[in-house]
Amino acid sequence: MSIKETSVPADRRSAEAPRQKVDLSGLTVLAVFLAIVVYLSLSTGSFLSTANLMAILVATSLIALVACGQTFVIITGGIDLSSGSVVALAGIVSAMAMQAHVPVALAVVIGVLVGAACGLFNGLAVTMLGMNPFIVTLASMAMARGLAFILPNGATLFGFDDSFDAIGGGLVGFFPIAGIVSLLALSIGAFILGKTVFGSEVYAVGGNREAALMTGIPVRRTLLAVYVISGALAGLGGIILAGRLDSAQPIAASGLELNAIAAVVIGGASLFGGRGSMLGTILGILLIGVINNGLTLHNVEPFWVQFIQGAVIFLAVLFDSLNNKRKASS
Amino acid sequence: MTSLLDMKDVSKAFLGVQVLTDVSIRLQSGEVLGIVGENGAGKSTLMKILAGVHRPDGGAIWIEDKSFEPHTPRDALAAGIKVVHQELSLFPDRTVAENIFAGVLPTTPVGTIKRRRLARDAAAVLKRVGLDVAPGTRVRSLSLAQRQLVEIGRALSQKARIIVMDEPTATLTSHEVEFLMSTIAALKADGVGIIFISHHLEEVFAVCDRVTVMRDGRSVDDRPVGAWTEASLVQAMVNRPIDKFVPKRDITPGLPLLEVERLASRGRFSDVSFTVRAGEIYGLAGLVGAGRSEVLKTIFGVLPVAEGRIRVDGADYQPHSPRRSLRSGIVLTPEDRKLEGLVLPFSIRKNVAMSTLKFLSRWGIVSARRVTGLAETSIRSLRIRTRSSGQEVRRLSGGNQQKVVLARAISVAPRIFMLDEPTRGVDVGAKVEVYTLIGDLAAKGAAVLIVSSDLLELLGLCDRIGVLRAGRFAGEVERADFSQDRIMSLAAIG
Repeated sequence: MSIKETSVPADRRSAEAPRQKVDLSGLTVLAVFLAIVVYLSLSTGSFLSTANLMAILVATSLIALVACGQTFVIITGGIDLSSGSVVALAGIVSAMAMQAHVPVALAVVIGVLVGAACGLFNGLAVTMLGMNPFIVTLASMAMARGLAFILPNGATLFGFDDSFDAIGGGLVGFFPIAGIVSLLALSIGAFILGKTVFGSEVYAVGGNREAALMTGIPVRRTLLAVYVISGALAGLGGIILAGRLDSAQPIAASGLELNAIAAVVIGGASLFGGRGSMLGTILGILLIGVINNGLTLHNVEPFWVQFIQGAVIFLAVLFDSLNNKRKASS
Repeated sequence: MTSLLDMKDVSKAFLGVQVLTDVSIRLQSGEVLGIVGENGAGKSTLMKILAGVHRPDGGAIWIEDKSFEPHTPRDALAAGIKVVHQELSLFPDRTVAENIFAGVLPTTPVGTIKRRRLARDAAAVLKRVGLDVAPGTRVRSLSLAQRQLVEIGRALSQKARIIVMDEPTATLTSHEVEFLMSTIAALKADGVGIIFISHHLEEVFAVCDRVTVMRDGRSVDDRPVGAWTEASLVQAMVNRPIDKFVPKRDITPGLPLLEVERLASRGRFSDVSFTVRAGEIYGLAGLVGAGRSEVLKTIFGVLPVAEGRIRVDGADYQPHSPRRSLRSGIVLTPEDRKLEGLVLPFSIRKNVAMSTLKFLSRWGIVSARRVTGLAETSIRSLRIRTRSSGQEVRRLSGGNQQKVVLARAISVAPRIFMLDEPTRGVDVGAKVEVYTLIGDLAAKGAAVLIVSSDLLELLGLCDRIGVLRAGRFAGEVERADFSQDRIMSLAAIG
């Protein structure tokens, strides 16, 4: 085959090919999302109101933060089951710090650091001890939850400074601060994953860990980093949640990690690693957000909410695997 | 005489691309039919049709004059067709016996496995394939070559009438190939028909009764093996004369770039010493399991050094990690492309750029333009056949995949190249290109260290060959003294 034939159109095609692929895999989720939006705006008067849209933003801001970190971990082929517990633990520690008259700004930093420390624990166990991420984070999920009960003696802590509460429940104009924080995290996350050396390394480690090692990619450092990122974002989530509720509860955010993982998977990430994107995760979060909101607007019994969420996850993964099968046979 | 298998005018297109056009092959019982052709010639697709994986668009298949239209791989198995794949399909955590009889384990009426019977039957099969391991051994602990024999054993146990061996010897050393050859002879005597697909023409001549050549999705020629010569076969495969597989080169080696002195890695090899000079191609020969790949991996910092010294460019070198080795100008292309060399679902671009992300970025942000530039340059200079640099590497042929691995190695601009089985599973045309490339690297002053199970390849390519036997350095042969016998006797007997 001559080189001239292939090299000229290659430039154009190569630029198009990957973009096309991302669109295709995200297209169904986007279509379902839009269909739900259209349905809800026609069937309810209040769906498109600013107040309701902002309510969705607030309601999804916590899961968005956790899912953002989770996206990094899942693309490396790992999983972080400890996120929900870390959210609770970080909220408790921040609250205790404030009760000990630590300034609010410092208490926020402490909360994030508590999350990062939990992530560091997970990351070290995975990289240095070679333990399985699922088991490690299952264990740290229980340990962090336990600490969230032990430290305040099982009590709920409340009565924070208004400036602390503003992070979770405050507004800039009509825009919720929590929403801004999570949008910021998602954008930065998208940039890091899509454009940076570190992002490329995250994909490579998840795509083929042996090959990544052999090509000089710092596998351990990359893995350690994704768990720290996931932990730190969960810590930030803990502060937002405590602020919004004006209380830090030991049982807060239990099961949250599963919703976050669901959002990432709905967004097209593979639990085997190497595949996924922040844009997909955002779509996954939005889908879960509007479904929950729609169910509330239609006064659907809360018992049904869980069932429907589960069904959505099932269908998303089903579609994905059918799609893969079709691709593999072509 | 009716044929055991008759495939006539078989055609197949995928998404509008014609992969097979009117392909016809015929196999008698007790015959070994060789099918040769470059990668992409359509051999694998043809076999997948026979195995019931794909359905043909046109043509017909008969087995002993009965029309055969497999819809699923199960249909093909029921008809006595067994394909031994390039990619092994073993269960690594089950025993050898359980793998051989997977799906047909002997069971008691309550459903438990008859262990003693299983072990006895497995031992009989293992004897037939010439594999000397206990039936209770976990497959995980076997070498690649041994696993391949287990796979062939599985075909035997399933009482196949037609066995397709797709690159059965791609990973075996000469020693193990001999066992395989005797296995094939025994099968022939039982009236089994064998389709033998291989890039090793030497083996094709050794085992086949007849050879069909495929090129560009067509069956272009079919003759009894005696009517072929190696040259005419290659010519038919590539449709262009190849007078020399390995380009000639004259070298004057420079200073020692890589010196290895009494190197040992615990439980793997010991007392290995050799020197590779700038501009020199040094081969490491030996049987599978002799520790050749392990020597490379130890120098590269993947396996720990137990004893010995390594000097790079005259200075002491302590291997630490692949990352640091790459920075020191040492590169290793691994034996198993798919397992260690490539991220298969990723594009050529992403695979080529993996080792040089730092240089393709600024302030930690990867320049898509420079990544594409590197990939396009590699595609051009290594003649990687693809429609774009965005192509997933798993869609490439073996030869092109290997070129992607080599392109990435070259992108680091190393002074020491360690190439582990650089032409394994690579077709003839691409092999020549890889040889030329290796020659060029040496000519530009790099030290090249090659591990290969293809002895002719080493003899043609290398300036000196070191031989390992069972983890020990058995000796070194200078080019002037090169001969297959000399090296085989060092590798196998001593």
